Amino acid sequence: MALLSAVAARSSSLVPVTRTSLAAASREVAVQAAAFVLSLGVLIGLLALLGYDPGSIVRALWSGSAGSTVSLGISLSDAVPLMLTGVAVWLAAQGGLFNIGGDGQLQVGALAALVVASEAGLPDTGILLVPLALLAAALAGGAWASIAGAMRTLRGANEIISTLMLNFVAFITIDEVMRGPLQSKDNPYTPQTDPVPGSAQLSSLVSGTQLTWGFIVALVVAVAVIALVRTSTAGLRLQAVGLNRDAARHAGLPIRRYWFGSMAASGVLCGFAGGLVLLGLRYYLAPGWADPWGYQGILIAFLAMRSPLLIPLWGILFGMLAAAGPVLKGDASVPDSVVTVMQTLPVITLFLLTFAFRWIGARRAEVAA
Amino acid sequence: MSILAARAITKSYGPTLANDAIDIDLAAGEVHALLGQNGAGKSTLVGVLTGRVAPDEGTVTVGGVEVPAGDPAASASAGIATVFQELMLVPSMTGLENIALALGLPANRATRRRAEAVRDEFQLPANLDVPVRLLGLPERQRIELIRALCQRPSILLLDEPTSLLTPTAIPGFLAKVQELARSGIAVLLITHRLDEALAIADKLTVLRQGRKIVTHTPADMPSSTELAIEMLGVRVADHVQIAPPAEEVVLQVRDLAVLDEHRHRRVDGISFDLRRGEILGVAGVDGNGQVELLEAIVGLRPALEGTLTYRGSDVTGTDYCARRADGTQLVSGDRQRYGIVPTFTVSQHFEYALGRDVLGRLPEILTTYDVRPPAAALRADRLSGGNQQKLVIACACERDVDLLALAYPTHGLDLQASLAVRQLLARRAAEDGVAIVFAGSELPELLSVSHRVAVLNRGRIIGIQSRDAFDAAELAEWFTHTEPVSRQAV
Repeated sequence: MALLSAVAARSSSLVPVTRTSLAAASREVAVQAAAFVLSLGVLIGLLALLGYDPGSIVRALWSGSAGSTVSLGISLSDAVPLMLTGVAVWLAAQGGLFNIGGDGQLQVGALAALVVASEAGLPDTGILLVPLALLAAALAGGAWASIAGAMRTLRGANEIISTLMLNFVAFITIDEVMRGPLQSKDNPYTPQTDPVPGSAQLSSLVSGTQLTWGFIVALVVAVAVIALVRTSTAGLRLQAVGLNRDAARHAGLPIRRYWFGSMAASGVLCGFAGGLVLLGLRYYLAPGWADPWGYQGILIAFLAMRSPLLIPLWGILFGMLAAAGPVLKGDASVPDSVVTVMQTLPVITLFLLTFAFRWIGARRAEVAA
Repeated sequence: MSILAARAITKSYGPTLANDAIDIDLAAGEVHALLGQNGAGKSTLVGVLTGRVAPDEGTVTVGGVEVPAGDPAASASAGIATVFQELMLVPSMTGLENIALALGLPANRATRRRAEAVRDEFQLPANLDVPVRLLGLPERQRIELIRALCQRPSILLLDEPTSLLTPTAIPGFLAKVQELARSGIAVLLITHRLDEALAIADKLTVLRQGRKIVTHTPADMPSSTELAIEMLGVRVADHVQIAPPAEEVVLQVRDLAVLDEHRHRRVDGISFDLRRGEILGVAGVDGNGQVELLEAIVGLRPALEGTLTYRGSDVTGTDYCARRADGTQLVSGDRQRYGIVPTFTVSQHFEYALGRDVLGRLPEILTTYDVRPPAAALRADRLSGGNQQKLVIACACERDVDLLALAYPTHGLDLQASLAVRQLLARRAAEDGVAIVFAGSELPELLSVSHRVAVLNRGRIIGIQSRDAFDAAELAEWFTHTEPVSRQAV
């Protein structure tokens, strides 16, 4: 009997494990796709209930996000920061930390890129300016997040609070800078900076669209970071710290170093996103120049927590929703807040779907037993 | 004349039989002590008596009337009150508010009069008007007692009441318990401290591995040695071959003192030497500083006083990360908490703990440590407890270690798996010269594999015996000593 069960356990563990994990992964993807489609359905239904024309909503959604080369370009360039902030939040979460300061890190990164590109007095060549500005952006974002990382590792300060508070410090600082030292000489009466020189602006990927090669860079970086964490030993150790801190401590892992490192790396990604947005999309800082990409990154990371390779995909979908927003407002004349609702619906739907699937699974197991 | 009678209480959790047909009677005016090691089934029995656990079989009657099973409210209205081991007070509320909360009354003047009447009647000095988090543990415990006594119980259950008290506060508390019993309450004192039980109990019931071993009446009170043997169990130890240790001292511990989370001195003035290839067993009733001692000697817990010397250099302030890189390793038997990373596979456990190089040898390692099934791709949290433990030990040992500290590594393992772990340790000591400190709760198990056994009580080494002079009865007797014995063979 014991022999039988041992044989059964062995055979069931070697081959089907990979099969089950594959099945689990594809189920995960299916659930997420279903969540997205369902949330669009819910959105259109809601708007129809409010008296808007469903046909014109669908048309506006399509034409605003993917109906033309131009709108597709807007969608994909909106996806650039989202892919990176999504990966950043996911990365910190691997070690058990919650970085909700992506917006502040992104803005500090953008400021650093602006200073290096416009103010540092470097030779006016793109080959020099672009890499240096992006490097400065990444380092600045990393340094900003490191403040929260150091507070956590040295004094045990909760990183959720500190990253959130640092956001406001960053916003206020940048607001002061664009009214003070970096105030544009050409527009002295509106608070804004001068744009970065043309040589530092990213060149477009598809002519006639706002899509730059920053999209490719962001995609590659996002996928590379995910692959690195999922395949390297250091990444595995980071996950161990996040999943069972006590076990990691007994295994002799320097937990604080992992915490600090993952938080700093998360900030580097956000700062880099800020650099790409500044050099590729906005070119100068002015009040309201940034969308809440950091917060949206949290949504994206939570949607794709268990299958992180979907982060870039969710980034693009969120970019499409953002791009469709203005068109939706104009063509279907729906209120502003609908765009916000549009972005959160997939999250709510996904949670409900996951819960429903788990409940069904439990019921099935009960029936089987 | 018994007021509470429990009959044939049986409760199993999966394959584990926590209570196996246990009978117990409590009489008014008596202190009845319930003794047993961790995992003997005490908490389950208390749960059944308080209605928090529904037994699979068996009945509880109070005053001849059966109490509905698994209903805390019914138990309370039958007159059973409990003071739990982990004090169940809301820290930010005052004593009065806590008492009112438990009684379901408003915290008004009437409730205050009731609480103060109990406080004065039983002479339990406690400030009822400051948040309890500002009070010391003995005072909080008195508030718990007042709260329980406000219900005017005929039966009072005290679950490990002394575990939070400092040694100096214990005698006074025990005297109070005795006084409560004399006032006509039936007291059940749950403890794993033999000396306390012997000091105040009128009757003693010993549980071991879910079974009732014996109930002593005043007519046949046992000696502390007899009681220890009943509690620990005496079975023939499996013989494990061990080799004599080398001369070289790997670890030297001198006058070590360590604080626990409550800032009590859990380890106090401990000194010993550990040689290459030597296995030192650390025995004692659970919770007498064994875990804290091991954590301190590997660097996970700071030393308050004393020095640690490892292979000739002072490592007193060195943290565990650095110590581990230098050949020190701690293994805990609490594998769920300290060993297994949820969702990680077997091979991922090896990779994160030991690096990728070890993966090539994985099939061989899994066979050596007898992890079943030997499947690297299986999720480790799906393995059975015994196999998880073997995995944790393998992850810890499959590298060059010179000092291995194990806290209850055979906890929850069956006899065969436990023997396999001990044989493995003996082999590592003999072949690779690893110095091993092994804390365990089963005396026979420690005796089978150790060169020397030290008995810990209240954070101090009561005595050390070496293998050629093991005297199990004397060792068991040491479990109850509070002062070191003169025979300290090193």
